[in-house]
Amino acid sequence: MAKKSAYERPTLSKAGTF
Amino acid sequence: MSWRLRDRVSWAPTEYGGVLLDCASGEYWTLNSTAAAVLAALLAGADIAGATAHLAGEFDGDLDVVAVEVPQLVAELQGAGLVVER
Repeated sequence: MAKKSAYERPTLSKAGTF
Repeated sequence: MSWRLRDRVSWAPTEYGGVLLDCASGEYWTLNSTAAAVLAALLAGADIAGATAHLAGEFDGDLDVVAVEVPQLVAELQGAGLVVER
């Protein structure tokens, strides 16, 4: 069975403007 | 309840998660890998419970924690005007 990736809190970050 | 990107918002998965471009405001946003997995599940038609189950299956997380944090992310996406209900 494949090892699962480590869980981290889902984050949405405003990165800037284009 | 299912979700879609708001008009003029574009989604690009990346090696570390993903980027959302808001072509109406000119703002762009980054998502980490777990947030990108949630968004991908939502855009594929999953509801919040389905996205939570998907994330818990893909990552080594406590389901109780995931079940709290996924709705928080969806609220952030909605609050930022990036996703809307279908």
